[in-house]
Amino acid sequence: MENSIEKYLSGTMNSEELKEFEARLGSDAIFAEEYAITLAAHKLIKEAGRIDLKETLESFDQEMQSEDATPVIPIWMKKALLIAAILIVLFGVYQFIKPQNSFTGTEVYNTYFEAYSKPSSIRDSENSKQINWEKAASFYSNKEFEKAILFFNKTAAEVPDYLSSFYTGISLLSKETPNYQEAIEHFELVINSDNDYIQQALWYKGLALLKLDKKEEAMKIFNAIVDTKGFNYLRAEQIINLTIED
Amino acid sequence: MIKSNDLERENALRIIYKNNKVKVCSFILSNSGSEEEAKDIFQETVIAFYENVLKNKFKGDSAISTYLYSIARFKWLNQIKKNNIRMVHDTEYEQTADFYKSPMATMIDDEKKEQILEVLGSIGSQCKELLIASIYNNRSMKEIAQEGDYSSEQIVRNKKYKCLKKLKELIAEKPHLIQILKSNIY
Repeated sequence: MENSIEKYLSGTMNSEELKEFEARLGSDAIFAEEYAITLAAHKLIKEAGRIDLKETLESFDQEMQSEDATPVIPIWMKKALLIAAILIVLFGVYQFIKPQNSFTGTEVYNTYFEAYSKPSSIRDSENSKQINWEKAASFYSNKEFEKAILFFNKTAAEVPDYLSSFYTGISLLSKETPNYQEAIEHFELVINSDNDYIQQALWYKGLALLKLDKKEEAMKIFNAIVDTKGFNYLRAEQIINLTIED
Repeated sequence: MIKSNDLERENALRIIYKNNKVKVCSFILSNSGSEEEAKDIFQETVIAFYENVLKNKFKGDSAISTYLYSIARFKWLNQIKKNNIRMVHDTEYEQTADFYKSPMATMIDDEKKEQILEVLGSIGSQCKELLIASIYNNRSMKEIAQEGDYSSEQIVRNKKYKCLKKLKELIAEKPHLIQILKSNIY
C-alpha cells in the first residue's frame, strides 16, 4: 500500500498503474485515508524544506549587510566615491527609465480591472415595466456582455441615460473583444452629466486610457480621484506609484 | 550545482541571491512595494526558482537573472491583486498596513509554521534532515548515504521508511493539521 502511494506521489507510475491507483482511491476508504495522511506528510516536509531554505536565504541577507558595513574612508577616497556615487545615480536613473523595469498599461489594466457589480432593479411607480433593463441586467450578471449591450441600448424609456451609458461602458470593457475607445465615450457621457456614477465612470475611464497606452491622460484622472478621495482612490494611489511604460 | 551536495547547493544559491537581490528588490521598491515586501518577494522568488530547477522546469534557456526577474514580476503583480481583493471600498487610509501583509506570511502563516515545527521537533533532527533531503531536495538514497552518516543506501531507505511512518502517525493524531496542509497551494 505504502509503496504504491509513494510511487504515485513521485509521479513515476505508468498509465495503467495510475488508472488502478485512482480506481482504488475511489473504492477503498482505508487506502484513501492512508493516501491523505501520506500526502499531508509530504506537504509538511516540503513546507519544512521551504522554511529551512528561507532561513538559509535570510543568512545570505545578513552576510550582505555585514559586507556593506561602512569602513573608515580616507578623504582622497571620498572624492572618488562621490564620482562613483554620481555614476551610480545616473545608472539608477537609467534602470528606472528603461522599459524592462516597469509595467505595461495592459498589465496594470488586467491587474485592476473588474466589472462593476450588477445593475439593480429600479422601482418607478409611473413606469413599472423595465423589460429591457431587467434583461440587460440578467445578461450582465451572466457575463453575456454582448447581449447585455444590445438591451442596455434599448433602455432609454426605462432608466436615466447615465445608467445605461455606464453599464454599456463596463460591458464594452468586459466583452470578449473589448472596445476601449467606445467604452471611454460612454463613460464621458456619464461624467458630463449630474449623477451618482461620475466617480465610478472616472475610475473605469482611467483604466481604459491606460489600456490604450494614454498614460498621461490616465494619470490625470487617477490623481483627481486621489485628490477627491473618490471611488477606488486607494487603488488609484497604488497605480500612481507604479512605474508604467510610456 | 544547485542539484549537487548541500555545500555546493548553498554556494550556488548564495551567488544567485547576492547577484540578483538588488535588481529584483529595486523593481518592487519602484513599484509601490516596501522594503520588507521586496525582500519577501525576492526570497519567495529564489525558492520558486530552486524548486523549478529540481523539477527540471528551468532548463537554462534564459539567463538566471532574467528568469528570476520574470518570476518576481509575476509574483508582485499577484501580490497587488491579492491586496486589491482584501481592499474594501471606503476603507480608511490608515488601514492600508493591514492588507500589506508579508507575502511569505500569507504562504506560511504563523499557525501553520508553528504546527509544522512542533511535529518536526517530535520526529527528531536526523529524521527531519533525511526527509527534507529526500522529499524536498530530491536527493537520491545513494547521495544521502554518501553525504550523511549512513553506511549503505539500504540503511537510508529503512531509516526513511521509519521516519515517514513516525511522521504519519503524528499527523494522523492532528486532523486539524491535515486540513491546514490541504489548503496549502504548491
